Amino acid sequence: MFVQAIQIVLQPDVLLTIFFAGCFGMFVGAIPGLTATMATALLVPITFFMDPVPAIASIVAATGMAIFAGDIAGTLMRMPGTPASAAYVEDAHQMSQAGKANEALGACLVFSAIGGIAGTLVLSLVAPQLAELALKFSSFEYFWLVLLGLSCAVFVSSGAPALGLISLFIGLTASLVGQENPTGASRYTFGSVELLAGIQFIPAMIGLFAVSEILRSYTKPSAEARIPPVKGSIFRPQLGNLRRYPRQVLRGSGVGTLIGALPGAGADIAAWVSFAISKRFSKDKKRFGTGHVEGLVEAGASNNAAVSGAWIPALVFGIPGDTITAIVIGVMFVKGLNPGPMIFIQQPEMVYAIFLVFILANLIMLPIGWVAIHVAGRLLGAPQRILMPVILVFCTVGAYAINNSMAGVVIMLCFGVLGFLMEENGIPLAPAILGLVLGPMLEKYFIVSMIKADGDLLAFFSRPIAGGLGAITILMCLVPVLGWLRRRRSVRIPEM
Amino acid sequence: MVKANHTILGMLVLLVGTMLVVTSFNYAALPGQAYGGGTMPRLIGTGGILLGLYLVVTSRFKGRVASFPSEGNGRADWLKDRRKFAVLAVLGSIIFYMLASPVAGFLPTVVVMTGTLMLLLGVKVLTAVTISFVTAFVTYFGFSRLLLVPLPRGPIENLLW
Repeated sequence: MFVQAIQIVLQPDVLLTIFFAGCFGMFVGAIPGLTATMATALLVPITFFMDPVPAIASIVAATGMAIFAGDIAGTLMRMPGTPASAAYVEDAHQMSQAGKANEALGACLVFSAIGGIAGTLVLSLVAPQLAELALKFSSFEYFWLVLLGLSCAVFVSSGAPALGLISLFIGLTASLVGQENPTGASRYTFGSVELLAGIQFIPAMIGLFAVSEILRSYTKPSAEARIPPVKGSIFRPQLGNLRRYPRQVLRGSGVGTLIGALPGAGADIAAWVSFAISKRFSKDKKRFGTGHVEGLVEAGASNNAAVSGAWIPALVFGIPGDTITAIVIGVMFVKGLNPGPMIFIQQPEMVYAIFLVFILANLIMLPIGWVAIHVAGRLLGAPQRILMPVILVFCTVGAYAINNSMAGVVIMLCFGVLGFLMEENGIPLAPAILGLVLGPMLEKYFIVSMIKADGDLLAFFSRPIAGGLGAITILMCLVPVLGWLRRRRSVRIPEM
Repeated sequence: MVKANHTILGMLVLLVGTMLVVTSFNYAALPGQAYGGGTMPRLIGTGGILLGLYLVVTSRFKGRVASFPSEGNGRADWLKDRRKFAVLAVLGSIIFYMLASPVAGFLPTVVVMTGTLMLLLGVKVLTAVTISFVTAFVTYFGFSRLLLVPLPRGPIENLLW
C-alpha cells in the first residue's frame, strides 16, 4: 500500500505539479493583498484537467508556500499575509531592522517546514484517533478555545494590556457588522448591501497593516529609506536555533496540529496560542517583541502544523478544518475521492499518497523559499518612495479582488486610517484583526451554548475539556492582574 | 503626529460602548429565547464601557490632564510639511482610484495615482513616469489576464484587449 503510494507520487507529472504550484503559491502569498485562500481558489479550475493526486498535490503545495510567503512581506515590510503571521510579525520585523532578516526569514521557513512535516506525521499515524477527540468538542469547548485565542492576542501583544483590549474591542465591534449572527438581523449595515456580509477581514488586514505602514513610511524623515537587505545564510543560523529551542519546536508542532484538527479553529488561533505559550514559558520573556527568534520558532512551526492538522477532520469525516480544506473537499469529490471513514478502507493508497505529497511539499518549500527570500530581498531593496506607491497599487487591487467590488477598497481605506491612528497611539494592531476574524465564531458558540445551557453559566465548566480550557483562559487573564497587584504591593512595603 | 492621551481614548471607547449597548435593544431575540442579535453588541458594549471608564479613571489618577492637539500655527506648518502632505496624498490617491477607475479604466488611473505619489516625494520625473507605466501594465496583465480578476475597464483597456 505504501509502495503503491510512492509509485503514485513519484511520477514526473506529480513532482512537476508540486514544484510549479509551489512557485505559484510563493508568488501569490508574497504579494500583500493576495492570500493562500485566493491561491487555492484560483487553482481549482486548473485542477479539473488533472488526475486526482496531482490535483490535490497542487493545492497542498500552493497553500503551504503561500502561507510561508506571507511571512516574507511581514518580516521585511511589517505587512503579514495572514492573521496567523501577525502573531510574530513584530519580532520578525524588528529582527530584519537589526540586520537579521536572514535569521528571521530562515526561522519562518525552516520551522514552518518542520511543523508541516510533524503535522503530516501525526496526520498519518493518528488521524482517526485525533478526529474522535475533535468530535468531543462541543460549543462550550469551542467557545473557550476562541476566547483563549483572543486572550493570548491581547496579553502577548506589545504594550499595556489595556491598549491590547482597546484593539480587541475595535476588532470585536467591527465583527458585529452584517447578517452573520444567530438571528440573521442586519446589524450596523446602515442600509448598505455590501455590508450585509460583514466587514471582510482580508481588506481590513491589508488596510490595518499594509496601508498604515505605507502611511507611516511617508512620515519618516529620509526619502531614501530602504528596507534592510537580506544578508547572510538563511539556513545556518537555524541549526543553532534548533539546538537552543527543540522543546519549542515540538510544542509548537503539537499545539498547532491539535488546534488545527479542530474544525473551524485554524492556524490563526494556533499561532497566537503557541506564541503566548512560548512567551509564558520562555527564560527570555522580556525580549519578546524586541526582535527575539524564540517566538518565531514556536509559532512558525505551529502555523504550518495547523495547516496539516486541518486535514484530519477533512480526511476522516469530510468536515473542513478551514476555508482551504473546504475548497479541497470539493475538489476531492470531483475527483472521485470521497473523504470520510471509508476512504481509509476503499482507497488507502490514495490517502498515503496525499500524506507523501504533504511531506514533499514541505521539503520543496525549502529551496523555493530560499529563492523567494533572495528575490524578494532584491526587489524590496528599492527606495521606499518608489516601492510604497507600487505596493499601494497591489494592496488596492488585492482588496478589490476579494469580491470584485470597490467595497473592499473602502474597507481597506478606512482600516488603513484606523491602523495608522492606532499605531500613533501605541495600540497594537493584531488583536483587532483577530477580533474581526474570531468575533463571529465567539458569538455563535456563546449563543448556542447559552441556549443549550438555558442560561446557566456553570454549564460552561461542566464538561472536562471545557472546564480545563475555561480555567486556562481565566488564568491567562488573571495572571497579568495579579502580577500588577504584587508589583504595587512590593512598591508600598518599602515606603512603610 | 496624531497622539491622544488615555483620557481621550477612554472617552471614545466609552462612547462607542454606550452606543453599542443602546442600539443592541433594536435587535430581536430568537423566538422563545432570551438571546439574539442584540446579545453580543450588549456584551461587547458593556465591556467597552468598563474599559473606557478604567482608562479615564486611571489616566486621571496618574495626573494626565485631557487635552486636545494644539491649534494655531501647528495646522499651517503641518500642511507645509511635505511628508505629512504626502500622507493625505496617499489617502487621496485611494479615493481617486475608487472614483476614477470605473470611468477612466484601471491603466490610466494607476499611472496617475503612482506617478503623483512618486513625484510628491521627489522621485525624478522620468523614473516616476516609467515605473508608473510598468506597474500599471504588469499589474493589469497579472491580475486581469492571468488571475482573471475583472479590473475596471476603460477606453484604453478596450482598445488594447
